[in-house]
Amino acid sequence: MNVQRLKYLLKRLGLSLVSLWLVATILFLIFRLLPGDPTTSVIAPQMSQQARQELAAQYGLTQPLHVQYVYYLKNIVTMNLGNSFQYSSPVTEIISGRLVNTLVLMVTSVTLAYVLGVVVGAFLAWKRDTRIDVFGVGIVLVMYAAPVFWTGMLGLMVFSFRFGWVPSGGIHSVTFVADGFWDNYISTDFLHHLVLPVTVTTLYFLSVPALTMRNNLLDVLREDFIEMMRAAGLSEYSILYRHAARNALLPVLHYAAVSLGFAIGGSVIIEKVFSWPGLGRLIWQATLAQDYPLAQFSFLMLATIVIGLNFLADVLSAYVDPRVAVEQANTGGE
Amino acid sequence: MDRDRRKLLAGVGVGAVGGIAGCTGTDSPDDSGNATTTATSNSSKKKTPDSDRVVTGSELEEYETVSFTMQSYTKSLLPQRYEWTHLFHDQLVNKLGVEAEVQIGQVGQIFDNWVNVDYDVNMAGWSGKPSRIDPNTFLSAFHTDGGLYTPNYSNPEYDELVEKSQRETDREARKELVMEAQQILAEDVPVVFLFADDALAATNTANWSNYTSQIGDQNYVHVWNLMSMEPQGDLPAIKAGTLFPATLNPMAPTKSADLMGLKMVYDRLVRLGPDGQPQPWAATEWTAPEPDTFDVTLRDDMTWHDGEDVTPEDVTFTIEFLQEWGVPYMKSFYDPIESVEVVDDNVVRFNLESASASFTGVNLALLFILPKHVWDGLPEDEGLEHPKNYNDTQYVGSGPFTVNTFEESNRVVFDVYDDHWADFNVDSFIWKKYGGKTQALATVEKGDASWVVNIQPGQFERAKQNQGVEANGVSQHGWKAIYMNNARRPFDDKMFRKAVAHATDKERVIKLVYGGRADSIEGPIPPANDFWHNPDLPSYDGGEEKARRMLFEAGYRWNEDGTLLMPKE
Amino acid sequence: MNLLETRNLSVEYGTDEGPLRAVDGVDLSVESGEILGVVGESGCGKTTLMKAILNLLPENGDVVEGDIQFDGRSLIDIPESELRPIRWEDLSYIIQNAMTTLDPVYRIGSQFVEIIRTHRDVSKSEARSMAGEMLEDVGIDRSRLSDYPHELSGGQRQRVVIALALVLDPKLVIADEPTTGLDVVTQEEILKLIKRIQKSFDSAVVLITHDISVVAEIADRVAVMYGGELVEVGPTSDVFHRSAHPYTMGLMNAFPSIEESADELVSIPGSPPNLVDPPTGCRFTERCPFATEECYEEPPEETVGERHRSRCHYTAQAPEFRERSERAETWTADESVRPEGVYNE
Repeated sequence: MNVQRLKYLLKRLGLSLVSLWLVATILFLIFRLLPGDPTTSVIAPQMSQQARQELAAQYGLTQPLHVQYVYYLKNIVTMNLGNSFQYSSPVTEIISGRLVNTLVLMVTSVTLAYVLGVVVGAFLAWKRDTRIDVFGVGIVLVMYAAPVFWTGMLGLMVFSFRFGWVPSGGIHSVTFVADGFWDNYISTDFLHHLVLPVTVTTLYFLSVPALTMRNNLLDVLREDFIEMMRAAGLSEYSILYRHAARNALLPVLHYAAVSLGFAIGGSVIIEKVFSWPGLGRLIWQATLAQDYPLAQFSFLMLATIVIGLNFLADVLSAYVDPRVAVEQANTGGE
Repeated sequence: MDRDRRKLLAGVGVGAVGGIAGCTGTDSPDDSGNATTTATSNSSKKKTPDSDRVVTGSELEEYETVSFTMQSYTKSLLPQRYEWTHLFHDQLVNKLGVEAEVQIGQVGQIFDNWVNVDYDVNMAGWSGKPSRIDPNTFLSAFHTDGGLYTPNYSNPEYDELVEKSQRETDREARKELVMEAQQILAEDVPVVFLFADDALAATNTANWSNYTSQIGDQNYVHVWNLMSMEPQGDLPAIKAGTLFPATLNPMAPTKSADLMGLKMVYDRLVRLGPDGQPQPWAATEWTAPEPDTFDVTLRDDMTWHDGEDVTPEDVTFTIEFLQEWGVPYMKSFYDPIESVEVVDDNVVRFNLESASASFTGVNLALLFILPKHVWDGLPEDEGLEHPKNYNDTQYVGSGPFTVNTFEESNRVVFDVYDDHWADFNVDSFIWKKYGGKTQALATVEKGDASWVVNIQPGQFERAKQNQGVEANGVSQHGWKAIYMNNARRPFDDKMFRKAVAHATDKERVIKLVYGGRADSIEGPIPPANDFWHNPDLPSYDGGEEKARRMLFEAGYRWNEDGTLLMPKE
Repeated sequence: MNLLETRNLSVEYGTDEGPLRAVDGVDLSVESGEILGVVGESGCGKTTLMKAILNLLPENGDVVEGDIQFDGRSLIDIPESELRPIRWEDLSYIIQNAMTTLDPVYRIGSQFVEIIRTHRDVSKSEARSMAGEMLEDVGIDRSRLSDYPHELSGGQRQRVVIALALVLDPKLVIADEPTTGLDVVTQEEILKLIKRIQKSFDSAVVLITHDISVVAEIADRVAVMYGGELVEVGPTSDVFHRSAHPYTMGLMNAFPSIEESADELVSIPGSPPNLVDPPTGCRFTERCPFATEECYEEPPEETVGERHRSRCHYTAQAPEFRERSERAETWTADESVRPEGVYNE
């Protein structure tokens, strides 16, 4: 059994590494296939063709592609990711600063969304087919369908521009002075700036866990083992929470890990609407500016996070749901 | 008319949110992006031609259709340009009967095509950066050897005028030459000069007063404004916007926002005044003993932020350091300098490779002075490949501000450097980045920021309604044009280019797209650049009738469908 | 005294088309220690009947008439708090489809322990050892308590489910299709197991199945259900050798007994009636090869032999029917009255 699980996990790990290598290679190619080159974004009328060449040479872009690729892979393996074209500072430094901002926003939101979502979903399942359920599912669907750009702007217009309850964006007041690093993230000023983006993001992410939980729970409640437990006289509490909820929660857990990965990378719009200096915007700008080192490694990091969280979800599932490892090992994975 | 209205509404809709959807959007043409869509407007109709101008039957063999592609940028990136590209497209199809197609693409493609002159027609624009106030920048853009950006236009007479104007150090005499050069361009129509649209800005006048405006689209981010601004109480000056410096390393700038930040910390010998003309700054005066030699006298009361004196050796070091390591973005400013030497106590001599009348107004106004005692030997000591990779935390300059806090993509807090000779009413200047212009404007309206520049027309109208906020459109010296490839048929024909100019109804577009807030232009130096502008250029407002007559006289014909034909080669 | 007795029990489901009477006026009794087989095609009300007894009817199902007496008390409208002590202690349930009867995310042992400790005030280890003994009784190694359900084969899981149903030594076990989905050899083993266990525990068992051969093997008595009604009931050998109702005869032809070969099988044409709008009279009329006009009248309940009853107008002609029913053409001859030609199962 444990050998089986280990075999399964090793297999997943291997697959994850291969995926990463593929992603890295595709990233390398994609950026070089885009029209234009990094000097396009730097180019200014005072720059001659010669200055442009000089810049390309400084970026190391005058070398043959395969040489660049080898350097690139070497950089990844040695974790020496080089300097950003735009910022001139080390990629790792730029990314890590932004990553913290994004993580604070997204981990908070996704966690809230999944905790609340599971509760809401369970509640709706409990109230199934009542007016509350129909209404609740409707609201959740609307939140899911509404573009976060739109809800974000609406939130800003109402709560910031109109009533002035929350700031119009950013992570701090313009004149904020932090009292040490942690003060950046625990000061009331920061929390005040965090409220609206977290609310909007949470509401956006809430729908998937809520609907998944609701439907899963309804499915599970129809399962034979639930009926047997009723017949066996187990308490409704034990049936709902010990058995039904745990079974229904599994797929939701898996989603949570994956959503967090996507939330971290797909936060561009939220970050833009709320002027949040996070990773999503960084990647977006780096891509537009064709800042190869920054864009490539940010994407690679996102891919690592998504793939890593997926792997983690697999590991978790293998422990929480004993069927996973065996079934997957037997059928040869996905 | 209805069609135009509809388009306009669509344009304004995008314009209002363009600040968010359109990203860095305003620093044209420095934006980037990729992906291409091609859109063809097919609702414009060709006119039925006069019968005597129609060819039919076997005669058609001798003609070919006039067809071309007009390249422009996406709506989300440049909403107004997207609109007027289609408006002009329709005008040309409708009035001349050309077969034209609009090609929409991202910067990576369309801008590169412009640079490499790979287009029939490219809808281009120059933003009003301070370095472009000196007439040489825009005049050189039409010089045969102008390098990038020329539309394959070549006129020896014009080239000579531009070269002469660069050698002429007497301002009035130079002005004459500049006027003449503009005259030639206006007659040759290498491109259809369209308009210089106002830089739209909003300032909070409830909490701050006494702003100083400068021509161009980098309004208010300059020392003159920071010196004159008077806040209530001890409020700092706060710029809210979407542009933001990526680096404050003086050896690493790659975009205009970087220079805008750097110029607060690092002094320049010359600064451009509110009117765009060079003003003494770190230099008290300059003379040109020869057209290719400049003697610059340094102020003697300047210190670096670490307390050391600023010396002429710092100036010579800076130039040599830049030339040694290479900063491509600044290359055109330091490259023309052949050598630099200290000739007197406080005088630095710049020996140029060739005469350059724009040297003070461009080169000296953009080159920073770096402290020798900080940078000399630094790359070697730190083991850096290039000084641009130096992780500076001190930012030792001699400028009016020191860097208190630099939070990437969020804000920079500049504190006034007390030992600087210039006087400020504010104690600090904060540059705050927002995700979109809408949010930035809201901050100004709430009184949490002093100003926001380059807002969209819709936002401008909104700001106008708000008490305590002043919305102002500042005429500027950047401009837009229909670039035609002068090496391709039929744009190699001056008459055809002129006909296009006549058929182009700029006033209507200014009204529709810019709400009237733009100056119509006939040459590359708009009225805002008052000193160098030539107000007496011929204008092309003959409209459809004149355009068609000119084409007919030049040998162009139409087929029965109303499609314009040109004789085969 | 009867351990379980239903009197005129009727159950309805609320459906979009109207009330569906899945069980209609059923009188049935189970004595202590006996095995009662309940047979009928799918949709004949067997499972509904059992769910009504177990108080497990879905939300849209309701007992509309009659009474259920279990061990001297009524199970109708009994509060959950009084029902809970009866559940599993006295009345347990082997649910259809053993593959999904166990919670996949808990080990078998902990599921035993949870159920045992819900009813008995014992420690975990005591509960565990009870579970272990019970597992060994059904032929599963005690160590399997630490396995997850998916680690067991289908037959093993069925054994575990049986063990789980019997672990508290209930007076009555209701087993719903305990052998469906298992291969023939395993079926045989499970049936033997049920029989053996039932003997040693002296529990009564109600065995619900659509497979009449299963019943033949182990049941003491048989109840045949059709269209929500009880059509024939009696001691197993009586019902099998002296079937009184044509439906019972049809069922016997439709399933292989162990001795018979499969090529002699004949299905009953057609399908069970729509219970939202049931036919008048005998509900089997439409499919009955012996039906006459009279069959559209409500049939009487006739006593055939000792404790052997049947609901048919022609109970008296049963011997003749039995003979004819063994010929395949009896069931297939008159295609015209069964235009759909829909074969059940």
